[in-house]
Order: sequence, then C-alpha cells, then structure tokens
Amino acid sequence: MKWMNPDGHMQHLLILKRWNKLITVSSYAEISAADLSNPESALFFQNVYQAFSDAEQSTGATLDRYYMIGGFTVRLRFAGSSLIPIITPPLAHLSIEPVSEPSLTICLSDSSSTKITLPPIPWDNADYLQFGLINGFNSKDIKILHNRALHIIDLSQNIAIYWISDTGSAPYYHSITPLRTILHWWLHKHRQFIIHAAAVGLSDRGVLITGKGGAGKSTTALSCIVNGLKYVGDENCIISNSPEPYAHSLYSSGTLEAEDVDRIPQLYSSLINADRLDVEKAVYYLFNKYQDNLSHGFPVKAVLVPKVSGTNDTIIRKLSAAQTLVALAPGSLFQLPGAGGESFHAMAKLLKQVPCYTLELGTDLYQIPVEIKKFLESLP
Amino acid sequence: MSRVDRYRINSPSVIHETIDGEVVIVNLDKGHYYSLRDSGTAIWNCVIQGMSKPEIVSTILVEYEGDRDHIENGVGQILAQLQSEEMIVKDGNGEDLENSLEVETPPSRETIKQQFKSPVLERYTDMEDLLLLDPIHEVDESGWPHAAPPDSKKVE
Repeated sequence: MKWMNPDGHMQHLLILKRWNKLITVSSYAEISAADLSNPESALFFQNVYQAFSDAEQSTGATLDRYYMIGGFTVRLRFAGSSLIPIITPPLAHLSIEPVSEPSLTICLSDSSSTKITLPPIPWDNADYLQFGLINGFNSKDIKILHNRALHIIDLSQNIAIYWISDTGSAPYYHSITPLRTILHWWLHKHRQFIIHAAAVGLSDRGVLITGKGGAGKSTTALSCIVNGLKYVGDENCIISNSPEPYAHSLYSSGTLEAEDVDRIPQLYSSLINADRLDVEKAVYYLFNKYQDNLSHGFPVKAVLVPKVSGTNDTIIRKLSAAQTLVALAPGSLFQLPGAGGESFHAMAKLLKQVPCYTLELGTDLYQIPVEIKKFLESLP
Repeated sequence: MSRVDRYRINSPSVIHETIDGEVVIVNLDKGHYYSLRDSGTAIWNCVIQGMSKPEIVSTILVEYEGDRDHIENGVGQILAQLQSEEMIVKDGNGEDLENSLEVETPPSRETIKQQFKSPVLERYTDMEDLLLLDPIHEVDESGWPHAAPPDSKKVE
C-alpha cells in the first residue's frame, strides 16, 4: 500500500505506519486561515536570510537563474552551484534572460557545500504540524515549512529561502517538482493556484486532465507529448480564471510508474533515474528532446477525468462538473500546505466555465493523443 | 416548551461549492470529502440559510412530493450524519419552537414536484492518510528534523 507525501508523490505506507503519531495541535484549516503576527517568525526569516548571505560569501559567488512562472519573473539566487542540477532542470523551459526587478526572489542554499549552518530554530519539537508547518509561526506574510528542507517566505518582501542540509538529503521529488511549496504560497497571493492536474493541448487551447493518483494523468500527458501535442505538465499546473480559464506550465518533468516505462519507449532517452526504478518512479526531463512541444500555457477549453476502461479504444463522454470537482479538488487541496477555500473556489469557478468529460482510456496508447486532438479541434 | 436547533457550516474547516445542483464539500481537517445531490442539495441549502429542522422539513415539503413522516426522517438522518461528520455544527443554544419561522406553502403550481427520496451522502476518505502523516518527530543538534527511529512497541 502506498501513500502520497506532502509533495504529492507516492511513498510506501509502511513508513506512514511507523510515523502515524496523530496531530494534536492546530487544525489544518486553522493553519490555512492563520493571520497571526509573530515577531519570532520575522526575526527567524531575517536570521536565515543573513545566513544565506554568509553562505553566498562562503562560496564566493552568487549564481542567478531567471524564469517566467505564471506570467511573473522569478529569480533563483543560488549560494554555490551544488543545488543547480537538482532544482533547475524541470524549470528549463521557463528560463528567461536576467531581469533587474524580479517579482519573486528565491534564495537557495545547502549547509554541506557552503559550510554555513542553519540558524537556531526558535520552535520546539511539539510545534511541528502537518506537512512540517510550524504551529504559531505562519502568519499572513511569513510562511514556514520545515521537513527535509526549510521553506520560508516573506510575502511582504517577495523573498523566499530554500535551505537543505546537504544535496544528498534532498528528496527525489524535489528534483521533479522543485520549490512547489514556496511557489504555491507566492502564487496564491496573486490568485493563481497550483493544482493537481496534467494539461495538454494545441498551441492555442488545451485541456486539464485530473484524477487521483494512478488514474492515468501522466500516461495520458506523456503519450500526448511524444505524439506532437503541446505539454504544460503531467502532475501540476497553475490555473487562473481571469480573464479566462488558463493553465500555466510549472514543470517540464514527467513521471511514470516504473512498470509503465516500456509503454512509452520514445521517452527512454529522457529518463534520468533508470538505475533507481526499484525504489522510485520513473522520472523524465523533457526539455532536451521535446522543447518544441513544451508549452508555457494555454486557455483551458475542457477538463477531462481519465479512467482506465480496459477496452482497446479511447472514448470521451460528458461528466458533471461536480464529479469533476470531486476528482480535482482533493488532490490539489491536500497536496499543498494551507491550500484551502480560495484554491477550492478557484477550481470550482473554472469548472463552471468549461465543459467536463470522462476520458475512458483504451489500451491502445496511440489513440489517446489522437482522440484528444480531435476533441480539441471540434470545440468552438 | 420544545426547543429547536439551528445549524451552520463548520467553517473554516469545511468548504463547499454547488455546481449544477450538486454540492461538493471538503473537510480540510479530516481529509474527507463528500458530495450531495437532489434532496441532499436542497437540505444543504437550507442549512446554509440557517434554517432549523422544522423549517427545513417545511421547505422540503414545498419542493418535494412525499409524506411528512418520510421527509422528517430523511431530513433528520442527513442532519445527524452531517453533524457526525463535523460538516455542520449547532448554531447557538437553540430557541423556542414557536419562534421558528413558518415556511409558507406557496399556491399550488402546475409543475409536478419530484418525489422525495432520502438523501445520500457520498463520502470519500482516500486523502485521510495524508493528514495523519506526521513526518517530524525529532530535531537533531544541527537543527534538522527527522523521523524518530521506529518504536518496536508501536509497530504492528
């Protein structure tokens, strides 16, 4: 049996059984609704930021990378080069030339290569909540999550910090969906929402594909990109509703269950962890081979909920918007810390504006992109 | 004198949306989510408006065909279920029955009312495990959290 970790990837439930100490403090909703003013949070942010500056000096160089994410310019400011190969490949398709005033700056450091340690943390063991959120330390402006990495953002300054003990301790999903928590916090402020959905389509329009883990989102999205459709993502994308339902790309990585690797052999050359498929999902970096098919985003014209039919053919049938929300919302809400009402209502708003369908996936994978393309071309 | 209770949505833990006559409800604390349709949607809308159980029954009697006992049972059961799932909570300390608003029966309409069927609460719990996860047990000397070593007494 498996469970989904806070970053949305499947892990074995055995670990959960060993860790299943119940949470006894503030509720999930209270965390998301928190608007506390805690001077300790602000002070801790300052201390971590100072430590980052020390780390930059220690490595002798700041290495900047710039990206366009959800229509905003984002600067990644690395203290040394050790985190660059872990964090940047899934963002390669969003890379832009340097800008003088980025909308958001994310500072990235690790203790091992910089020899600078994390400042003392001002909370106790008992303060850890779901996801690694800290009881009493999340306010309107400052958000903190501390698990395998420290994620901290000051929304009033548009500065975030990602800090990890050493690059070897980075969970492998940080190299698939890097910085997702920080980007979720920041985009939420700008009424853009990271959701648990794939998105594929044509150059001027596309569909969201959503459903529970194992429903066929990734298989569908990856079979589409290798057959010439545009790819916005297979696990996450960013949605906005103004002026129209729109899906922005976040990552150009993709994943498949290890046992499905041979179903899409065109992706072999993009596979980055062939030697670890016994313990990890198959991870693909799509930029090098498929950059022409990577889209920054498109207007959303429909939402599809895949389900494996067991028959040969792929068929698209009408589905109620409410049942589509049942498929879309839980994965999106429980994958990200503090994603609550606003994200939920944004998803519902999108579903009220576009038609929804079941995508009954046939065993002939080639039919999937063909049917989606025909379907998109048939829409007004 | 009899007392009646009013209810309210258990927000902010519970969030909900109605689309095309179907309600989707999420309990963020429990990791559960639900859907209601038909008479369930009508009752949910009554709860949102702050109606008491007698007012909800009167409203459903206007909207649906069915005998009062059957409707009263159906409304009572779903309200109990919604409370048990902590989706709704009692609002205040109750009030005298005679203060409960009368829902006026509108003049008979030509349209045929739908037959009342007891509402069904579709319940999904597959996200629950995620919220039971508590990955942090200890913070080491360098300030990094890690899972505590498995306690053999706790592992089944």
